[in-house]
Amino acid sequence: MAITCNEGYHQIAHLGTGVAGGTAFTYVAIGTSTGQTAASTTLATETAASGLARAAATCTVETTTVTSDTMQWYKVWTAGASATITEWGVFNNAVKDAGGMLMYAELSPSAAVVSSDTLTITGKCALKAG
Amino acid sequence: MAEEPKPPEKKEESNAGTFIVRDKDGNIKQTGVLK
Repeated sequence: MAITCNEGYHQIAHLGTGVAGGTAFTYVAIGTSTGQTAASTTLATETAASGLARAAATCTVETTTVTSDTMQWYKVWTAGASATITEWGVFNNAVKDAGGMLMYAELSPSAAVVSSDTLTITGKCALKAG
Repeated sequence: MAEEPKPPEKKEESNAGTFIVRDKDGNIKQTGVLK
């Protein structure tokens, strides 16, 4: 199950109130291991393989239950080499293994790509009452 | 009389996602979900 990470709550609270300390989550990364938890701040094994490195996402606001209650990140990677992708995360920093992680998920099943394949991932995180 | 247990509340998935792998010609090779 996709999880919202502890650092994500922290940063979103700051962004929502305007209190200094929040940075928008506009980058996505993929990796080749699994098992991260809400306390994690990085992917288990973030990849920097050709074409598959962390990058800015197309960020939009979507609707799940209440109008405009959902953050969405969309990214298309074009693989420059073979890889088996098993994890994905949303970050507020462009640098590999740096910054805060808002959300973490594992791919089911894992995604096997070879050179010139594209991997398109769309991830969503909805704000909910209660 | 004992109350019957209630079925678990169905929760809407708030964190979710999907992925698609395509070959160089745009043909779909694989699809899946984020979980």
